Amino acid sequence: MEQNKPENTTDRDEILERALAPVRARFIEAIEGHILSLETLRQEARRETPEKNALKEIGQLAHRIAGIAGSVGYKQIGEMASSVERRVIDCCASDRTESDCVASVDEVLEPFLDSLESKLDD
Amino acid sequence: MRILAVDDEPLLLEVVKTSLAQLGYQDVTFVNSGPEALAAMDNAAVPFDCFLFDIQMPEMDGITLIGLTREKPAYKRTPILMLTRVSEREAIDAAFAAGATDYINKPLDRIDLKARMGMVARLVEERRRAGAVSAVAQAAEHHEAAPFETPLFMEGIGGLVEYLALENYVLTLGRKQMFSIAALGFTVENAAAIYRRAPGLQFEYMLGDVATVIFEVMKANNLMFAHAGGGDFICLLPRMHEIDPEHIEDDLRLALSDFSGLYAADGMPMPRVRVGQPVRSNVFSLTRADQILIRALAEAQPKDSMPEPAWKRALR
Repeated sequence: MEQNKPENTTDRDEILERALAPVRARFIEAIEGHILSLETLRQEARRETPEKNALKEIGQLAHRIAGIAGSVGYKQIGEMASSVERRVIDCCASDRTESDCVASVDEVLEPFLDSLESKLDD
Repeated sequence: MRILAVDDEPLLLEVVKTSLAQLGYQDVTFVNSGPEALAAMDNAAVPFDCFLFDIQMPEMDGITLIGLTREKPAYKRTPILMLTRVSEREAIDAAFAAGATDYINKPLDRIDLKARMGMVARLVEERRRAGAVSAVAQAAEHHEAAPFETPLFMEGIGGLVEYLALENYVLTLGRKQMFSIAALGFTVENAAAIYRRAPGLQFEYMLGDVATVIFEVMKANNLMFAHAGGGDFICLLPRMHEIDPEHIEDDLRLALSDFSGLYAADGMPMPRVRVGQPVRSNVFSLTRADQILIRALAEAQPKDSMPEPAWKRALR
């Protein structure tokens, strides 16, 4: 279970980890906004639209989270965000229907959102 | 060392800033986009020594930014490290081809960052010293010759990257990707003789001619290649391409013959290029990935040369 502190911290990293604490705090503060954005985009994606913009935006936000999460100690969140991003890319490149794509992205988005929410409870 | 870091995620820049500060790199400028980075380069009173670029950015991606940076005369050889995730494999390939020097994996790891930045710091220091030597030489109105074995980089030749970048690129490849490439070595057999005769600019021009014809002959293969020092070049190709060294040698000879008038006018011998057998990675190989480069370079060396006389061996 991830705690509200970085994983795999060694003694040698302690000074750096202390220095990174404010960045980590800001990452956690931003999580609530990310959850709201992802939920809103998911609702938009579920409405029938000819383009996959909402899904693409989900992918872009997941990409941003994936890029930073691991670096502030939340490797698991980073990996889950990467899975969401990859799934969106695969769906957008395929000729699957919009609803198929939404369902497919949901498979990885739902546990990702749960994991983000659990960080708010820490 | 003056560093410019570019990432569209402000929190990641905070992490980079904190991590670099811990390693003693304090002179770092941070911007959030490619256009801001280009403006920072243009406005810098003292040029930057090193760049850290994110690859995927909304306004201008990191690969475009590498290309535009390399177009600036002051930054043709400045080390560029990409900030990447392992999943960005295709982008990593494109970035090396565009002129990147190395990469740093996200999530950032302190030890990895320290190693990569240490490499860059040494490179910057070496070039600073070489630049100082060159400036003195230019003041004396003659070109300071680089030592024969130094890998050189010649500008404006398609597919040509620095040898260090090629090594770093190979080290990024996983076993599966290694299996999909082949390395091909080229050697200018009479390079040492040409260097002894004209160790300065003329030697570098000769290498430039050879690099140009290698690109012309091999460009259909989507190649990436580098000068490895002396008269040696190393080239990476997709494994599936059929490679016939003798045929390539003939094509190179023909292409080089276009330059024969220039060499005759300068009283210089024409470079004779030998091509080795392609070297492919064994999928079960446990050796370091960059060994493929060394093996391919060795393949290109003449094997049927006469044995050295005993007195010469004794001198070693």
